[in-house]
Parts: sequence; structure tokens; C-alpha cells
Amino acid sequence: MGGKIELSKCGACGALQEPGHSKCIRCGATRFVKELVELEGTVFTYTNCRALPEGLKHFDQVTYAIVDLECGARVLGQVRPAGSVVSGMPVVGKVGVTYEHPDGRQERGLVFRAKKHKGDWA
Amino acid sequence: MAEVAIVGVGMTRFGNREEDLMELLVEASWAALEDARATDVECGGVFVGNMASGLLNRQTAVASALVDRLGLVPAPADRVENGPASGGSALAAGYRAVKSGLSDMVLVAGGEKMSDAPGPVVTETVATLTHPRAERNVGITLPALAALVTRLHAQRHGLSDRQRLQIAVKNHSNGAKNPRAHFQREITIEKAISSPVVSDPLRLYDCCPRSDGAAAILLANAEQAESFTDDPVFVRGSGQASDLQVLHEREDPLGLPAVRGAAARAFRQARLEPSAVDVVELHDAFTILELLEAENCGFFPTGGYARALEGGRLDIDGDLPVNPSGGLKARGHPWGATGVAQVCELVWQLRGAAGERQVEDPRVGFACNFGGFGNNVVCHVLSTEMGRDRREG
Repeated sequence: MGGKIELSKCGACGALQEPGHSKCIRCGATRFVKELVELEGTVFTYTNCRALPEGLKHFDQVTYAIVDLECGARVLGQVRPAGSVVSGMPVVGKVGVTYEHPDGRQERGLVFRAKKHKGDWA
Repeated sequence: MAEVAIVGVGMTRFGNREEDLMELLVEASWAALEDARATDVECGGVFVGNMASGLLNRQTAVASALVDRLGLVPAPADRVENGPASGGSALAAGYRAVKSGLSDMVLVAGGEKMSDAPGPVVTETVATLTHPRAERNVGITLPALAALVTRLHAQRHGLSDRQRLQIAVKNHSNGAKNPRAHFQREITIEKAISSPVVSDPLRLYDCCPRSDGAAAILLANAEQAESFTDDPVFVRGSGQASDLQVLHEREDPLGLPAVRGAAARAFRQARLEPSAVDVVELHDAFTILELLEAENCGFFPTGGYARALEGGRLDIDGDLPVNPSGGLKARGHPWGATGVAQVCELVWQLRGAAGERQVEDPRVGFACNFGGFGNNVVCHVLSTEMGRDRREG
């Protein structure tokens, strides 16, 4: 089972978007509501990155993927374990720690894994 | 509206330089002023393209410092920041100042000193142009964004590693003929294909280096151009367009509407079609970008670039030479300098002064400076001839 995130939903055309905007990126309307969506979808495109920034230096590689969620939104996240997905593969996701600054601050973002993967999220 | 002429250009060698940012900007700017025999003239404005001096060099207000160092006080001076297209945006600002008639002469400079900071700091600095809550929070890098796009292109259009890396081979071959280029050596396709993976499918030779350097251009009202140079080059069109900041929110990440919009505006203003262009400078920070820009600017249909590359049409002696300077891959990419350096190269080409890398008898040049990750793009069309209205008037 994956987790859920709250996205902005356009009050006029229903387009889901993350991050939020002042005007809908599809129809230009300015009224939004929040909607909780399942983090389940398929990999649209991905890369296994080996030249990593400071906050990810403790990994050999990190997989980034653009994921088409079943709800219709498209999001960017990391995939764990790295190197485990290809385009079109079903994935589930959750919100987790995705970056650690040298001063100890942590960033949180979307973390996915292959839907069939039965291990932990490491 | 006035016609705008380029009457002087100057550029430092790009690479790992001992000089600090201000010394590089002064070297390039003074060269442009001397090129126009204009070291004693009054300047109506100074626009300096620079992306990250505050983060990399702990120096802000670089335009204020430059105008003092050049002895151009009290000229108005502004730093222009548009990420890796800061140079192109500085030129666009200078162009508007002269075109509108508010200024008769404007100095445009661009520079960056990147070797002051370690590689990972440079990588993180350029990543600050991504969205903090939708991209940067997962640690995305610019090479990783380019890799996502490259894989998508390969899936849709079947572009192979060999085809893509041929762009790097071409640009290194051109850079070997450019005495100001960061890398002045040729590479083989085998070397490129066997280089280390940065973010798959991108390899080291898919990516531009981090460079130090500066470039400068002196713009003048065309009516005064002949008092500065025998070979004025005219800025016929200046176009800029933006797009959604977040790559994955764009309807088609391969579509690059900001590139299409900026190019279309520049061509419309110039009253020229892409088919009129003889020499092109594109923003190949990553090999895939040269291909996507060429196709989205209207030089080739989708899928046409790889075929043209294989046929040698984009070489210096081809029918549409692309990046004769070596491009960002070989000439180098000091962020704030790049957009200005692209246009310096076009001016040398259009003057017939590009030495060993001279394209045969070019009349029209085109430059595309790619800001953000394609979300704020600046294009310029240059010509050896003034606009039609002016000539007929």
C-alpha cells in the first residue's frame, strides 16, 4: 500500500496540480480545492543519477522518476531501491526524507518503489 | 524605433582562470570598447548578465563595480539575472534600451567565476533554479533533469547514445579551432561513449563543463554605427518567452514551448524565416538540448536533427553550421557569460573574422540561450544587413 498526498484541484476544470499556482495551468481559473490522492501510478521517465549533490553523497546512486499518478497528476520523486524501475512500471509512493543538508536539516519529498517490491523502502 | 547595431565585441578565454570575476568582466568589456574604438565615449547604460556571484564568489552588485572599474560612471548600471540565460537577458535589456531610443550606446557584459567553488557546490547552486518543494526537495540536479528528458526522447524517437554523443564530438572538433574555448581538443565517439555515467543515459561528454569567463558587446544606434566600425552587425530580432517552472508539469517535457516562443518572436521581429539563417549558436548545456532547441526553433522537423548530424550538415562546412564556437560543451559555460559569448561568436562569423572555424560567407546568425530548465529562453537574430524598413526608409 502506498501513502497519500494533498494536491490542489482546479475548481473549474478539475486538473490536479502540484505545486500550487495562482491560476490553473490548464484553464486559468483561480479557485482551487484540496484533494487527497493515492500515491499509485506508473513511471513516465526515470534516471539513475551517480553525480550527486552534497545531501545525497552517502548514496552510490539515486533514482529520480517522473510518475503519472492514477488520479491524473504527474509528480517527481525518488525511487528506492535505486536502479529498480524502468519506464511504464507500476509504483507506489509515500512521503519521506529525500535530502539531508550538511547542517542536519532534512527535506521531505515523494519516495516510490516498484508496486511488486515486497521489501522495505530503503 | 531605432535600428540596433553591434559595434564592438570582446571575450576572455573560457576555462579555469586565475583572475577574479571583476577582472574577467573588465577584460572582456575593455576588449569590446577597444574593438569599437570607443574607450572614450559616453555610455547610456551597462547591463551585466550574472547568475550566481553572490553564492559562488560572495560578491553582489557586480554591475555597479564594473561601471566604476571601466571608468563609465555615471552610466546607469544593472545586473541582469535569468539563470543560465542571464547573458541573453542582459543583451535583450540592452537591445530594448537602444531600440526604444532611450540610449544611443549601451554596454552589455556577462560573466561568471565558477572555479571558486567545489563541484558539488556548483551543482547545488545551479539546482537553486528548480522548484524548492516539487523538484529541489528530492535533490534533483540539472544533469538529472536532462537525463529524464533524454530517456523520454530515446523512448519516443529511438535516439541512440551514439547519435546523441555525436553532438559532443562535433562541438569538440569546433572548439579545437577556437582559441578562446575551454576545451581545445577533439574527442572520438568511442571516448564519448565510454566516458563515465553522470545520470543515465547521460555520460560525462553529454555535459558541459563548469567554466570561468566573460564576454561583452557594445550596442549602438545604427545611425552612429559607422563611426565605430566598418563591419557593423545588426540585431534584427530579440525574442524571449517563459514556461512553467516545473518540468513534469509541462504538457510535453520535450515540447519546449519557451524555445519555440522565443525563436518565433525573434524571427517575426527580424522578418526572417529559420531558412534564412546561415550560422547557429545553441545552448548545449547537455547534448540533448542542442537537438531539441534546433528542432523547436524551426530549423528541423522532429527527428530531423539526428539525420542532419549524421550527414555532416551541421559541421562548419555544412549547410547549417551549429555551434562553430564549440558550444557550451567545448567553448565552456560560465552561466552569465554564455548568452553574450554566443552572440560574440555570431558577430565574428558575420564579419568573416572567425579564423580557422569560419563558416563560408554567412549573412544571418541565430542564438538561443536556455534559461532555467527551458522555462525562460532568449533568442536573437543577427544580420549583416539592416532591417527592411530602415533600408527602404
